[in-house]
Amino acid sequence: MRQPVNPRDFLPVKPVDLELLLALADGEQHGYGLVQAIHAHTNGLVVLDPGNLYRVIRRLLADGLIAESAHRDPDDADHRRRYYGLTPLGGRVLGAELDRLRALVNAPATRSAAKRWTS
Amino acid sequence: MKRTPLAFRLLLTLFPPSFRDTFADGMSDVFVEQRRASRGVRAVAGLWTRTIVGMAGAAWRERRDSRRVLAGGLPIGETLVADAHLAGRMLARSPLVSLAVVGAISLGIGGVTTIFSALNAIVLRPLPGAARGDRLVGVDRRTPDFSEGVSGSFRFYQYLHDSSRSLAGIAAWSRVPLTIVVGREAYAVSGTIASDNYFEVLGVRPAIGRFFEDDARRTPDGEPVLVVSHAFWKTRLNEDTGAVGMTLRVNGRPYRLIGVAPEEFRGVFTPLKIDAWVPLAAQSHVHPLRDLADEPWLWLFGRLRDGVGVQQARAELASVTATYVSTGGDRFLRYTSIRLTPLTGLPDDAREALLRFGAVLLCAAALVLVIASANVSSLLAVRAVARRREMGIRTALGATRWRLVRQLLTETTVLFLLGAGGGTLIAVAATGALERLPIPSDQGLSLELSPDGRVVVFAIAASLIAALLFGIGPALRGAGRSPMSLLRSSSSGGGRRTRTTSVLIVAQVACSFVLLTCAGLFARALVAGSAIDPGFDAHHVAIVSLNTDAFGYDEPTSRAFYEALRNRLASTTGMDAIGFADRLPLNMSNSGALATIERTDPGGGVRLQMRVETGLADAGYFDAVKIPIRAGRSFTASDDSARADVAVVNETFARRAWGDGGAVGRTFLVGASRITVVGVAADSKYSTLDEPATPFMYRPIARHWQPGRMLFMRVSGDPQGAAPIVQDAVESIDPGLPRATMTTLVREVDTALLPQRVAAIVTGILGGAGLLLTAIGLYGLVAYGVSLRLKEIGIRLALGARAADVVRLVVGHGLCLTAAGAAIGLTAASLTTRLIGRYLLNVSAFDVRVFAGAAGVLTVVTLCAAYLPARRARSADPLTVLRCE
Repeated sequence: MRQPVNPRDFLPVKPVDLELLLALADGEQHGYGLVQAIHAHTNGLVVLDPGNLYRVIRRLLADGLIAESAHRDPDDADHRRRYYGLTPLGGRVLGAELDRLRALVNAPATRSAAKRWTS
Repeated sequence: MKRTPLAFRLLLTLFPPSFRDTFADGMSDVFVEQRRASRGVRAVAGLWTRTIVGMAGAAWRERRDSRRVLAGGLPIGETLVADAHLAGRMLARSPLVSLAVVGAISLGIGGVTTIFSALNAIVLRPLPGAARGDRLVGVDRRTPDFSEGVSGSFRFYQYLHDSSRSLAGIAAWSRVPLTIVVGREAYAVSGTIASDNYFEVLGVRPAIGRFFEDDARRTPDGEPVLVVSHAFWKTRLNEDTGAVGMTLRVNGRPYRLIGVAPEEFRGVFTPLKIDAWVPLAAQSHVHPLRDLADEPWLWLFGRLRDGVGVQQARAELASVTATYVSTGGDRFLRYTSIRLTPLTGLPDDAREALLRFGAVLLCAAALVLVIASANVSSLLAVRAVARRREMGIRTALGATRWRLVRQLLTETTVLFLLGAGGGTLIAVAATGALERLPIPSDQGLSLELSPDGRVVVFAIAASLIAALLFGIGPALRGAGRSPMSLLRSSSSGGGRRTRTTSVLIVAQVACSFVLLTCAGLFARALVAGSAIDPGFDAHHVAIVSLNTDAFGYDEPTSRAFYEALRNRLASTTGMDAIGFADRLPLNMSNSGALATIERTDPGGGVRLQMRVETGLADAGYFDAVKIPIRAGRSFTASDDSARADVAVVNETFARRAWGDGGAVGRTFLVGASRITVVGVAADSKYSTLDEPATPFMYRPIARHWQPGRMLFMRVSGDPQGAAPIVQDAVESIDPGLPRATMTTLVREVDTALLPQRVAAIVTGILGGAGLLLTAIGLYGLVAYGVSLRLKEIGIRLALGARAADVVRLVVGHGLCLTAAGAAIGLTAASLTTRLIGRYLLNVSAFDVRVFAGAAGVLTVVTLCAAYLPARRARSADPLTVLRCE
């Protein structure tokens, strides 16, 4: 039997991993869709090349945070595009990371620092 | 699927297979979409850059991670260490074979490394002691086709110095003999007279004191200055740091010692050991009688400015030179170009000749390496048979073929690297021996040949290449194809293996043949060279080189000195003849003139122009070296007076100019002066031993004043015994003169044969080593063949074959291989010996005796190597042999 996994063991999530989990939060995506979503989400700051994209995917798959879905694109003639989606564990890790970030942003020390340093 | 660009597919191959299998389609899809979304050249270029960099990085990280994660295979670096470890154990298990292999490779690598080491030290290594020596260039003024060159005059040097922009600095120097008096001892040393920036351009820092700074401006009035070598400071000044600042007498004048050069710095031409440096301003002291502003007497070198390439600098200097000539710089109108050469310690022409000579020897040494490697290769192939079981078991346990090949190659590489180590040791010893090789010279030659880092890299590279070339075959065969074939009976496949080994043996015999012919040809050339009649008798002749010019003598005092010296020596017992000349015979140098002969034929006057070599001599010279006068007379004292210009010509001159009609009394023109022939001397060799008959004329040395002279003395006993007599004589006339260095004519003639002598020794040693290795290889192969066929031989004997038949069978096999190798070697040798033709004097490159001799030696060696195993086969007991199976 696999031990129940604590989502907090994955924190903090690497920024790229977080972007990818966020992109999957709205629903399943294929590789290029993920690149586009991340590109849009970061205002063009992060543009992943195929190699690094699939490295992240490989890692998240291995950790069980995402999974390949059975979904196939009806427009894709060969049905070769693979789609990926969040696993329940992936969702919980994403939630835990967002909680962590929220707590970080809302902390009084963060607020005073933000007042002084951001424009 | 949309089309994926090839470049991207190549990038995909960087990823580990497991990753690729899963994600290749996805990655291609993403890239194709990204590519489609990119508009414009900039966007596409940006995409490609990002993709290549990103993918390469990702692939590398992925491989690194997968290595950590997957337990299946160790990273290649670790398997290499494990392989090497295993290799070490395997080699230690059969130490004798390993030792033999390492020994053979050491011999092969040692040969090439020794010669490379010598070449490296003489022609390739940047100047020792100089900073960033690779940026230093020799500046060589040449004709536009680079075929002829002229040294730099002081004026030309100044012009380049002021006009050149591509050099950070340009310096000039020349050689000068100096006599330095320390206490009561006078030392004659090889000196350099150099521009003030000489050390600065070289980037040499003084060990003690300082080098020249603006001493040009100081010296004419002030005290001249001197820098000495570290060796001189150590041996002559007793390492006294207080010596700097002292005043020493140099060529009869007080010089202040301002600095000591660092230990490793030996001057710009490293084979000449330089012991002292004086600034150019001292020129009026060391060459008092000459105005050298326009005379070509300087060597130039410079340091390339940072960022300037050699070609660029050459072009700029050539255009500066062209401008110099076109604006009436000097009289050397044809020399309008510049050649830049690496400043590695040798004059350019000598460098090229040595490189060519070295390349020949390097090729010979490479042949020995091939023989050694082929030998090892066949040994490894034999051993691979013995290890078939091991390989079979490992294959059955799941080792891939590639894994086994890698293991076997690693073992071979370890062997060859050990050989590289041994070879380097041999090279250290051999270069040490070469350094001690007595090279006769009057110029204080000393060689420094020891290996440096570059040589070690060369040895390792050579051994790795050899390991790969000769190790891959046995490794591939040893690793086999299927475990079944490997595990099956060990004796199967022996035939195929001996066949490949036979090919290797044939190659070894061929290489040996080439080596033996080269060695034989060089030896023949040496013998032939010694047998060439130079036209003079070198025995019992002592030679002393004198130069009064350097010691403040003017012409009348010099003449008086030489006359006094001659008279004093002539009264000595045992002195048969004394003569002066301006050059040594066979010293490779030429000084030509154009003679115009007006022949009065019956049909009218014909002007004949002829290039002739010239030399200065006196009457005693012909007696001293025994060049007979065939007609007319030799020089007399009356020729010295300015009445008529006379010459003694050689027979070739006389014959070409006037046919068989008498030459004595005839006249010819050289330039504007009309010269009368007073005698005809026998032909002799003038600059090289193998030169064709050359027209030559001697002119009276007394009439054509020359401060530097060679004194030739014919003595009845050992010419070396003349040294103290000459020294006493010189000292009694002027105690301030340095001890003259003495040599003998025999030694000088030997020097002319130095290339042949060195080549004969080196190729002889290499040929012997190659022959030995080939013999061992042949013996091994025949013995192995006998062991495989022992059963067959046993049956033959049981069926009534005679012992002699068995011997014939086995030895015949060896002879067949030798015959095949010799045939290939003969072809190869007849093609290659032509390349060494220039060193063979009058010996033909296809000398039948040498070729037959090489074949004979190989046959005898084969007979010996094959007879030993044959004896074993003959005495095989049929019963035992058959029972063993």
